[in-house]
Amino acid sequence: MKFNLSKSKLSGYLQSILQIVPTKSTLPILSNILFEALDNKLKISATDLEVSITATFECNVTKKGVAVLPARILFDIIKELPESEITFEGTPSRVEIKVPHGSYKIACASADDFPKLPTVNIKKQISLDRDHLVTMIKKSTFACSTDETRPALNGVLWSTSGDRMNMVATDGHRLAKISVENKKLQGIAEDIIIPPKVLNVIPKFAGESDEEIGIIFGEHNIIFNLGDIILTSRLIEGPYPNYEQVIPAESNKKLIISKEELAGAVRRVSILSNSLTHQVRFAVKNNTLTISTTNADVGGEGKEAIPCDYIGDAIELGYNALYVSDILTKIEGEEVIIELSSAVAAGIVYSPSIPKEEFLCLIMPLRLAE
Amino acid sequence: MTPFKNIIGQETAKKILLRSYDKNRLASTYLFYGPDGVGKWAVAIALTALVNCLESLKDSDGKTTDACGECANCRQILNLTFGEFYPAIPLPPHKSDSEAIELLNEIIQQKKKEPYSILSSKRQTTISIKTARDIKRKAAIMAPPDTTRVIFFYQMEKMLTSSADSLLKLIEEPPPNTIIILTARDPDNLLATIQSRSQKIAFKPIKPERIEEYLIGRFDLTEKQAGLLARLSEGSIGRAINLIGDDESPVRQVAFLMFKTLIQKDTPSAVATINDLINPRNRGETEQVLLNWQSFLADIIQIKFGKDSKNIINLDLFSELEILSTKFADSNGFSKFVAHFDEFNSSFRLNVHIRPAITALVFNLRKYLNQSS
Repeated sequence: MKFNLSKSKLSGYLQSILQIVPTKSTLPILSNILFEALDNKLKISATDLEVSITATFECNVTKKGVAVLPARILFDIIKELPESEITFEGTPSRVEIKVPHGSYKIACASADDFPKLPTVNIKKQISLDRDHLVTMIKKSTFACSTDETRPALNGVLWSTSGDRMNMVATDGHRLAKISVENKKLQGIAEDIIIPPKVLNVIPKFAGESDEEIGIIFGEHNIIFNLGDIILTSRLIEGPYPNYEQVIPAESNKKLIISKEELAGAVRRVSILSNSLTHQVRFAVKNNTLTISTTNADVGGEGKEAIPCDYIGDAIELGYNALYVSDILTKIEGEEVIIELSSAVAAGIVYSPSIPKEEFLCLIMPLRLAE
Repeated sequence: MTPFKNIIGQETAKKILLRSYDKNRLASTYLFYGPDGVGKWAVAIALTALVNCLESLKDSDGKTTDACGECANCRQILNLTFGEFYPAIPLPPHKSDSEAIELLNEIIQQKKKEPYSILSSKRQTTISIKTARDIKRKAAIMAPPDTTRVIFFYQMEKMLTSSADSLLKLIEEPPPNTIIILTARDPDNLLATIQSRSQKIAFKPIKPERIEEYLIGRFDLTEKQAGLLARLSEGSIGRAINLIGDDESPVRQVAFLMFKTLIQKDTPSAVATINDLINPRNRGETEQVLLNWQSFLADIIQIKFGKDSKNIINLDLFSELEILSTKFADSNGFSKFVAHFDEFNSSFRLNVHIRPAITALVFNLRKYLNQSS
């Protein structure tokens, strides 16, 4: 194997690849990167078995070949080099990296041991606006569960209904649902559940904002084509629980309030809340929302009242302050609408500027201690 | 050699698995049970290779005989680098995830080098609830097509009941393309609910001839030495390997010191010295000490009754052992001494407190020794 390329080019791609390389793994081979020198192209790949990444780019290849190199060591060496042309030359067992004033030799891992990168039976292929996808990701993945007893909730549900494409995530305490019109996705036979890991790395890859991201739906995996870089993730076994039934169809109470004021008050009051439940009390009456908490452990209590527009009977509810704060960061605009029905039913949170059919969050109340 | 062919003995287990594979009727969960060091690990690996082999071998009747051991999947599986093989192995207490990974990788390396080796640790080992959770999380992710994922709980009895309970659903209904293999010394040590959800396969002690053959093939031993180790091993290759004298081993030196004290000194000082030297917090080391005593005893038997000094395991200690052997004048007392030690050895593997157990052993052995002299 022999190829040469510039330091900056390689280091850029390595940085992307490193997002996927696990720092420590029960399979030590996974801390390596697979280099494949092809016809005038270099292909570098890494995987943590759940998510795989491959970068393919033009490169001056003088001799084709394969090598598996330790990711961190390689990146640390390349990172420290001054900008210059670097030559890689070697066999599958040892590679020499030639730099202007010297050389580094690294022993390779066995290419046989490197996991087979996923192959895909393509069921459907679409392309989506990059910004669009990133927004959908950012507004949904935060609500994923980490509880392994309900594995389906560990992922984001990607489904279609009519001409709408939905991403839904929930952990049973809160739910986020974002829906956009997209006719391209129609015909995906079943809903798929995507692990949040791959979704969370997509926004990190710098790209032109008008660029489109190709998405290939496979039977067992999903592929995101980001130009030079291809991300593949396995899917989570379904079925996803029927989330529709927890979204209240009707609410008889509606609260419109300044997002900044609400977020600030919740943040401050929650400092005194119970460190396990983070419970804060929301009391709405006569166009005033009072947020309060008492904490017997610390021996303190906090209370703030914020003016709001409120339609409905007076109500008191308990919420986990962290969940409220999380949700408020996802809502756009200066104001936020909260629809309520009873002290035990889910509250619907959305922005006045975006209809709730397009983006809504649900938050389950906590039982208030009398 | 191919994976199944490589396995010493366990013909029934191999036959059941190969036949079920051919009939496409492999169970979703297996429970391999039997003594340590008889090949449960090796068979689990062979089964993983068989279900993932790209070119499995067939006989003239078209029946599958083995995995090829050569294809890309087989090579990774035999190298223990296969991504779809999820081992859950009991580990000693650890402080961090990364320490746990290091410990696990050490064990994997040990097993790669010697699949029959018996894991021993200073501290009590467990399969943690975190491992169980990780496995459940991984199992929820779809296996790649054309691959059979194998989830392997090694020494399942080392998992806390509460953690084992949380796995019932997974064990009852593994996700598609997934086989779960559990191993245990005795199935009765596992929850009844786990036993009833898995197909049990018994692993038998291996014949001494086969162990001898294996030892000669892998270690620098004479036929006589290997034969003796095989006879001492109670049908377990792992135990035979542990018995191989490592002249440099500090444990062996301490073990010999204790053994000499036991035989040469009076009872109170023997109890005192041995209690001093034994490390009650290190079960693995104590098991090693007992294995060493077993080999010293075997040598004394040879010195007293054998005809050929080639049969001696601990050749470097020959002259000292010869002196010790003179302490056993009466063969009746000596046979009781040996029998009692043997009995103790097998019960020690159950969970007993190390110090009181060893003290009782020394008292009893001294009693037979006094009869003998």
